[in-house]
Amino acid sequence: MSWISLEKATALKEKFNYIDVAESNGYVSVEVPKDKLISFLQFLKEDPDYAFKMFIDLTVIDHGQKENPRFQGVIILYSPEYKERIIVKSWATEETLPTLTNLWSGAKWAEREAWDMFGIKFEGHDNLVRMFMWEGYPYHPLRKDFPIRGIEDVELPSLNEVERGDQLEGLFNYSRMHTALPTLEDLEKTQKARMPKKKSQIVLNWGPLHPGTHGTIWFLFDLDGEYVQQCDIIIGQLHRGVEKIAENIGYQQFIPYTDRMDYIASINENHAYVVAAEKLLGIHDKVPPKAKWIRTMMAELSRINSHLLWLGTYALDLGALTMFLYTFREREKIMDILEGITGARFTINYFRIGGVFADLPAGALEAIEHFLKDFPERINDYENLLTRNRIWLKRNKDVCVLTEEDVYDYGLTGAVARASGVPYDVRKIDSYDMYDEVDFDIPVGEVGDSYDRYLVRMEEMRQSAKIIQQCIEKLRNDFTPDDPYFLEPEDPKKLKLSIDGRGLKLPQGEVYASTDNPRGELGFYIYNKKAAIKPHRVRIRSGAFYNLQVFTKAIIGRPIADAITLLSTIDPVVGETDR
Amino acid sequence: MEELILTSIAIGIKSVIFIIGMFLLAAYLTWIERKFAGHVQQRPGPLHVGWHGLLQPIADALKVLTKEDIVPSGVDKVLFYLASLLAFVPAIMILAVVPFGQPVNLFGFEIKPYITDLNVGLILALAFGSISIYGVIFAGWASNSKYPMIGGLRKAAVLIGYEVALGFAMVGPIMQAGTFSLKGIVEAQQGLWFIIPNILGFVVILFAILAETGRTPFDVQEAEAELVSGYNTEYSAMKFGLFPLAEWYIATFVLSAIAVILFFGGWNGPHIFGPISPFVWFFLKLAMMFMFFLWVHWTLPRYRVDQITELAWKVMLPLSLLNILVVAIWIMIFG
Repeated sequence: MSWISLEKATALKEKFNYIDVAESNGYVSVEVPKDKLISFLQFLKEDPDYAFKMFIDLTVIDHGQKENPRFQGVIILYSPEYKERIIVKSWATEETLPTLTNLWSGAKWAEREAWDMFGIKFEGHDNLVRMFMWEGYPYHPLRKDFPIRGIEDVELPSLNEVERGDQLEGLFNYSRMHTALPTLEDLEKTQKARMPKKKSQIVLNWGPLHPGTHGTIWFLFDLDGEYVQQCDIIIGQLHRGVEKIAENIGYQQFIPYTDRMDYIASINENHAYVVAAEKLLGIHDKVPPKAKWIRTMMAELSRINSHLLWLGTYALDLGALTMFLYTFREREKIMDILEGITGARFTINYFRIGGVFADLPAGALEAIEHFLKDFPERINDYENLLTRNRIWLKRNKDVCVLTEEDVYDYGLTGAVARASGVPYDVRKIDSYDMYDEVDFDIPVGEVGDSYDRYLVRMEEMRQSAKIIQQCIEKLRNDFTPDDPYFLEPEDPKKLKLSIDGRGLKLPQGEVYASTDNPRGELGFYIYNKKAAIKPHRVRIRSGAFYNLQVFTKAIIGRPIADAITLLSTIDPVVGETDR
Repeated sequence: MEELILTSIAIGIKSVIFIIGMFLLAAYLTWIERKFAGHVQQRPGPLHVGWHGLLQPIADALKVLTKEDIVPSGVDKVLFYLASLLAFVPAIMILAVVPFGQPVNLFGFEIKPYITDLNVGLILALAFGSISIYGVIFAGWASNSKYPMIGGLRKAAVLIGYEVALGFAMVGPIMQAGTFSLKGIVEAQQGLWFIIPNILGFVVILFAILAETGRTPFDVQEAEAELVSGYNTEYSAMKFGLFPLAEWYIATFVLSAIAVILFFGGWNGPHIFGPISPFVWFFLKLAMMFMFFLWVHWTLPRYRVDQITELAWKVMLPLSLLNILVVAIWIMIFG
């Protein structure tokens, strides 16, 4: 596991006597007082023995109204040199924390989100506005005292009642009260708050519904002619409070919510959550190998599925209309296979904590193999159409270069990081499931422009096909249909593990486990105060969220047409950025 | 006097036939494009309305005509209405000077398959082509919205570049034929087609037609990913329908016809189809040109607007000038 060792963390105590080091099933965390936080983090970032250069995540835990101090900041960092992570915690006394944006630009959005969801003020943040909710929204929804059904304080009568005078009182649970909704003035205020000062001629709005954004993102571009001078993004139109739901629902029951986050690669979302929960339970190594092989195979199949959609829409956005239908032809085959195995085509919840919910049906391996037989040829077809195409090169080469520094600074992960020359792949670092037993390469770019991001994703599809091939051979040769696909706990009274997950308790402790989603590192930080059937706090570290953040920086000075290229190569899915 | 009236009536009848014919043709060009795109994309295209979707254009036309015509409140109404007409009318007016064949004798009458044969035909065609661009620019301006405005400005930037290159590329065939009359140019190609010395000019014209008609890879003015639908974002119903009809079909068709006349000898070809042979040859060549544009449209991605203008000024303009030089040397050597 890629985590800092207890010894190494304790060694920090010599230099900083005010820190506390704690450990919970292998996850070492360091607690620092608020006023020393920035100097301590600076040391971690710059000291050659630690070199926690890469920003992974920042979030807040609400310990409940009775506690004082109530809120605790949690920062997760990664050291690319030593391939290890660390958790740094700090109590947010008086509901404030110092800002991290001077150390890592990537903290900007994370701090906005923490302010939005918990009401923690970050001192020194240059524009601390709300991330998901609109300006003027009075509450902070992830606080423990905010009820899960919301606070119904807006009167919003039915149109039938207003227009036709129907008497609806007492019918169909009818209530005039509704949770707060943004008005047009609120939205204008939100827009003003995001871009307080106009730098040039016009502010072009993209979205919330716009054909180029593939989802409900709202872009603000300050345009000088065709060139972008300033940019900000308003997300949150698809915010459903998945983290809040997670706190109010059983562990196994939460899985269907994860696949509604990144709906393009739902299997990978399930995968990340399931791995995190298993690691907190301490059963990840005991899961039957057959289940692990199946999960590895399905995750890679889903990655190909997601990348095919990316390629199609990317080419479509750049004007190559035909590519879209070509990739959908292959995608359809994968969808059919997924449907046959899991029973669903789109929002799949096949994985369970402890394995998968059903064995592979007869003939599944043959179907996948049949798909793989002509898949490499199809990728070559796509590459013939695009890779050496002069127009494609002109639109992508040297467009919006992201450097290695940007990757660490913004916490970029997935294909975006790899295209910038950082071989950061959680599959290799963490080797969850069977990724340490399969043979595959990590494609790495040289320049970090859009073209490299394109090439990296194309190669990733080939590598995924290679992994699937190995999984098929393993599953066919080493396992019989009688092998278990779900973990039978040794003591069923102690660990109530079942497919429906009733009564499943997770122990006290904390865990940060991540998997390599097609869109970046998807991490689940689960914090449990005491053993319970519901988690105390689930933080979802979304790769798309952090990758999208770099958009606002990389687009500056580029023509507006490059915004499309950059957005497509970053490839966010709004369900995951908004959660 | 009597002769003038007779000629006027003849031209009037011919114009009506040409305009109705062009409407029907444009409608069926949409069917061709949709079938073509369908087969490029491994799907059948329109299939259910009529035999192989042959009635689809009529259904589409009915749909577009019966849609609610929304005029947004903030628009400049005069220009808003004028724009869709300005895009459409000049495009169809180019037909006045495009000949589709030699005069034929039918039932004792001499029927000329063109409306008029002007000695400045080509210049008139170019002029009408340039006017139709105002439609797009007016649409962008009058919509009082940001996407159409950027789209209109983009189109203006692209066209300033390509109008120049287009004009210069046509100089080669004119020099060889010694006339601006399109009919005269065809008749000058009885022996060798003008494509032979004018190959550079032809390449420039291909690019210029793609740019003028706003087809991929030059469809920046309606790049749907960034500008929603570009200059026609605020339009609806038939006013909306006129834009693609004018640009994608009528303009492409007419400009293809001019390109065929300039470089591929118009209706010249072996007389193997009997009396209708010139028409067959002309329309075959025209179809090839049109299909070529469809093929490009449904295959390539699009350029960025700064790259298009760069291409126009730095590559296409020098190429068209070089073409004039090549043709001049050709004429000096071969006469």
